[in-house]
Amino acid sequence: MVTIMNYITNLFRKTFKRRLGKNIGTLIAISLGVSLMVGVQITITSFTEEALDFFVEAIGENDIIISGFGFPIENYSAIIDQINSSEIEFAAINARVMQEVAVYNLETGDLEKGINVVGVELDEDPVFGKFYYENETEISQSQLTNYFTNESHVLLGSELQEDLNVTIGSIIKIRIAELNTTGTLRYEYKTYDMKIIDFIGDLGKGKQFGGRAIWTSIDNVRSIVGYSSNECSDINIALSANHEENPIENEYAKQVEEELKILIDAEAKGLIVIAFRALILEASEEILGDVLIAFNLFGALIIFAGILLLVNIQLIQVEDRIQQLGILRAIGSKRKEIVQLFLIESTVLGIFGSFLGVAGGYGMSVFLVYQIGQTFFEGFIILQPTVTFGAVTYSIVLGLILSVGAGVFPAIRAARVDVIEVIRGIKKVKPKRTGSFSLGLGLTFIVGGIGIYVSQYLVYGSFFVPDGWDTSLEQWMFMGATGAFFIGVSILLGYLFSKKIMGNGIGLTFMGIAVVMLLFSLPSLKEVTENTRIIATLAVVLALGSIIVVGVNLSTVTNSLRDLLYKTRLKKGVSLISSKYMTSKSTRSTLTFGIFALVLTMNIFAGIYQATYSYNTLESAEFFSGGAAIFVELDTPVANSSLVDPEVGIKSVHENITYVKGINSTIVYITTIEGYDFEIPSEILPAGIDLIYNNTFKNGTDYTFDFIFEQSVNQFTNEYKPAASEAYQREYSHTIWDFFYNRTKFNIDGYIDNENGYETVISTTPILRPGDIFNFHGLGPYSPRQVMVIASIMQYPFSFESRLPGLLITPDFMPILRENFALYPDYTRFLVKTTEDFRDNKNYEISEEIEEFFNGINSTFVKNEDFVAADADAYWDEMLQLVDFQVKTFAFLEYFVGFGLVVGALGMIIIAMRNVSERRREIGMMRAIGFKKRQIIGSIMLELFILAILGLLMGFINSLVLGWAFSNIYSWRLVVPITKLLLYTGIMVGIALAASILPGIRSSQITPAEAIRYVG
Amino acid sequence: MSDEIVLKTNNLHKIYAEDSSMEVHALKGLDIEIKKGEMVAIMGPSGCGKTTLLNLLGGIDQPTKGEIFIQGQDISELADIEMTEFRLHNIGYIFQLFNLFEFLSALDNTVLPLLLTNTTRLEAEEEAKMMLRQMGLGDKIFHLPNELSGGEQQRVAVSRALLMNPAIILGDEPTGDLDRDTSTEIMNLFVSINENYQQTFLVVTHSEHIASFCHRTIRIVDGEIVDSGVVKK
Repeated sequence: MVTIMNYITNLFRKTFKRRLGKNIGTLIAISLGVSLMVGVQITITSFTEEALDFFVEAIGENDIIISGFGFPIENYSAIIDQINSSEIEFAAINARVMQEVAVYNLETGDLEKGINVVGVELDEDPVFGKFYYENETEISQSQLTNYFTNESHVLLGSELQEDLNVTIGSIIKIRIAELNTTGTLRYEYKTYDMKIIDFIGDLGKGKQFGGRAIWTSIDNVRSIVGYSSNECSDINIALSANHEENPIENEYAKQVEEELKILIDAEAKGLIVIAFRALILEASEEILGDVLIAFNLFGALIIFAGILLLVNIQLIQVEDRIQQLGILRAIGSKRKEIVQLFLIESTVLGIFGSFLGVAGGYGMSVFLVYQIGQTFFEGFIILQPTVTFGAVTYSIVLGLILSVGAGVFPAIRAARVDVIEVIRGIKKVKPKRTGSFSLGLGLTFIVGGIGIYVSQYLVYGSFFVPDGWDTSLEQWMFMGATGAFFIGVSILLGYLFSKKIMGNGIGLTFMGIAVVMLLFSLPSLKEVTENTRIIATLAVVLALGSIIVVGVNLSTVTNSLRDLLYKTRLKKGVSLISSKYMTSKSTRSTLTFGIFALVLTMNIFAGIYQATYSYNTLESAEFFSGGAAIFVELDTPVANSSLVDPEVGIKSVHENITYVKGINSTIVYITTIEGYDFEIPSEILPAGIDLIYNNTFKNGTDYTFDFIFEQSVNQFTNEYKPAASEAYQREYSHTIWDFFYNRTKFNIDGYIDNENGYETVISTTPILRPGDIFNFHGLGPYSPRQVMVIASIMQYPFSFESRLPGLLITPDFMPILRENFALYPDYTRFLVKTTEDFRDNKNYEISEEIEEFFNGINSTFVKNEDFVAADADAYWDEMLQLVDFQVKTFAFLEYFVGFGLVVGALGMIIIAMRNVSERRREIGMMRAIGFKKRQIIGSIMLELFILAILGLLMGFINSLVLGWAFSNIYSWRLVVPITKLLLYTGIMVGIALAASILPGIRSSQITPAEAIRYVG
Repeated sequence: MSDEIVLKTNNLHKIYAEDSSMEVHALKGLDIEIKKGEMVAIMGPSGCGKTTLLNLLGGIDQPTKGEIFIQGQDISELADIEMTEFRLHNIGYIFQLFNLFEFLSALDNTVLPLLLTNTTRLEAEEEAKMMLRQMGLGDKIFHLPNELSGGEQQRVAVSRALLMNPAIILGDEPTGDLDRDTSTEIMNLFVSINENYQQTFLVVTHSEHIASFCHRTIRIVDGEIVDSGVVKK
């Protein structure tokens, strides 16, 4: 026994050396497969971490902010004392006076908006960052005291130096709000000159607010904005002095937030306490979640393609040694020993392959992460791949597990080699049906499926729900149950009839589930985000099903192809050999075709989705714009409207402006109500509101601005026809508007209930959806109002730039909004109608002129030092930018998948080279019979080419089905980008040809005299 | 048998050499003549150069020196592509290990060379079916090689070789893997084809029994002809 084992081990060691070329091929294939997995992993990790860093870096070590929300926190030192003497543990606390302003460099005409003027205590705890010059030397406290002796002297974040085109000594003008405490509480806006005394580098305080801040002492800002010495705008609390080393759990921060609210009696004082860092982290994870779904879906399929590559190459490792294995079995080696030996080989190759794969994956991620920076951060941030020791170890272990795992099936196949078949060079006819084991297996699947059905019914009380499931989990359960049931039936059919029927049954089960779900269930699944999750699953299921079906019927497919090829100018012998080669190694051919099918399904789908999205978004733009070709937003209200009435002023900018309507706008905050859960990232959120009067959008009974609702509460949804005509959509929306203006109340189920129902608001961003119920807070000590979202407008012009939830409200909320409108007493938003064609670039030119009217160096506002920072945008131009961002995102996903394609193609070259080595004897026979070299090349190339084209075809079909599903969900028209798809076809043909050239040439170099005697 | 010369070699040499110290002189100036309709056996001990000779005559290997004429064409001067075309139309091969494509049916294995010509697929398949029927395989044309016996597989190989109506069929130990009865059956088949169609055969063999079916036996020892044989009447 030991002797035989030694003999076998020795033999393998020798063959390992003898087969060095082949083993190197296998090693490269494994490392390519692992590269894909590692590359995807590093890219996703880097994106998540870098994006989170991007979000949190600007807030320094702050965990909790206590804010007057635009108003001063009175007697703040008493609050700090209160916190100091409480049991709350924290690392540091500070007080600041801050205001967001617009900054003008009058010499150059440069204007920057959204800049923070920050007043700090000069002895502020260093946890909140120190001041550093650009050369990274620290600025001492005495220097700071010296600098800020003059009230107008400031330090500027280096980011602003270039944007404002300033140097040390430059005078900049800011527009800042000064609190007027006499009479009605109100902010007066004024301009103020500041002198830059130096720039601070991007360390310490310099990196806060993304480096876009103006720094001075807290006393100076107090003096400028009219705060007394015991007032500040914010109190910041750091729970940890270094979050990287001692991170703070989000839950803990939120718990402290609650304790603080009670401790300082926040509600009575009109103060807001927010666990800001936790809020940012949770919100960014929420936002990232959507992007990550796409990444993970594409990533999962790429990894799947990598696994197919690994299985394929491991299978070849076994199949080209069948002869040796037969002899080994004949001389007495056990099956277990052969499995062990192959697994040892897989492990050795897997270890080396995984190490190489980590290097390859890193290379891939360098490119992809760079592209992320370009796509999602517009090149502002150069991202670096995040590679941690844990990630490397994980990748190597994962690569090893997968490459060894991929070797298990081939190893078992090796152990099952039939000695008689090998020794006598014959093949026994295999039984058509599956063995008795499959009877039990099939029944187990059926019983399992029924079990899941029952569980689903017990847990959710649902079965098949054509009206739509509530959650993706519920639908997954139904899919799992149906899948298990029909796979069980297929296995039984395999036992009763044939393996082919079983294979077709399993493949069709996958395809059927995907298609039926897409047809009946997706359009009505209630949550759009849940739909995305389901569609991701269905994409995988559909791709898998199509691969299985084509694989099982490969001989039928290849025979049809052969007949088709016979009609071409290709030599018939070449067509016969290629098609039969494919069928003879059907598992390997299926794996090869599967790699292309998977990668192309994703790539083509990305193309179709992108085209469909762009077309439908732009097509519907005018319809959804409400007739507002241009929209204008001021950072602050015009202080002296007697100087220029902004509505009149905007209208005077261009003769083609026909109508201008101003809107009062401010910021409120909303909080969740216990028991009314919905998907928002935090229990408290600021929200932008627009005050809508009866005449804001309407002129009598006509709509001057006619916004269309996309979703609404059940009262209206039950009879809503999403795909109906434009006139129907308008009528439907007008009905809802009327209920909104009339202040009709609705109950929790979304039906009219004026007695016990909720007041309504309209949502203008996707964060809040119809049916959501929450508390609506104004500033100051007023009780919150419980409100419900009645409907949503997804393309309200002002939603484009806002990252906050947006709401439309009616004037009956004014009693709790008095202080909010002290902040923004006049119009800050304007809707503009023009006579220009909606898609005409002329609207863009008019919007530029409007900005010039407010911000230009010759503007009346600037000349009178009452400038406001205005953003005027043409709706059509914004839509083009929105579409462009989506296109870029998908272009990035195409890069992502492109790696899968390239690695798949490289893997194909290796596999095809191995195929050629394995077929030396047959190639020799072909040459002896009379095949010319070019015909040999042709037969090898044709085989790979056909498999690639089959993959392309399946990619087309799957993508069309998925694209159709998506367009159905959003009632979009499906757009197939023919030129792009032709380009893909061209690329695919090119890749297939390129991948087949090397093996083709190698095959033609085989000399027939040697090859005929070759026995492997 | 006619007087027309189908195959002729002049001073044929083959030297295998990786370098001069490893030189193997496999064939040493062989002169052979085979007439149309002749069945010739080549015999000799292992390593004497029989297979090397067959490879050279079939044009799948190049002689170091000398000339080979088949149907009057000096094939040693032909470029690879011309040689392949010439082989397709003029030379039939039958191997010891049958060398059928295991993934092709008997019909597909047989029809393959004809599919490399301009013959239409239907015509080619008809001809191949006819040939297989003549070989007694009419009921097994769609069987894969592993579903056929050794003798049946060799008859498929013979069908494939005959289908192109070649000037000469070269057999490399064509019955080497078969038992005596099946070998006799195959050789009788060769004789029958030879008599009915004047088909020329050159068969390499170890077996006196197989050689006994041929008109003449050429014996080779150490790369040289020691006996050109006498034509049996």
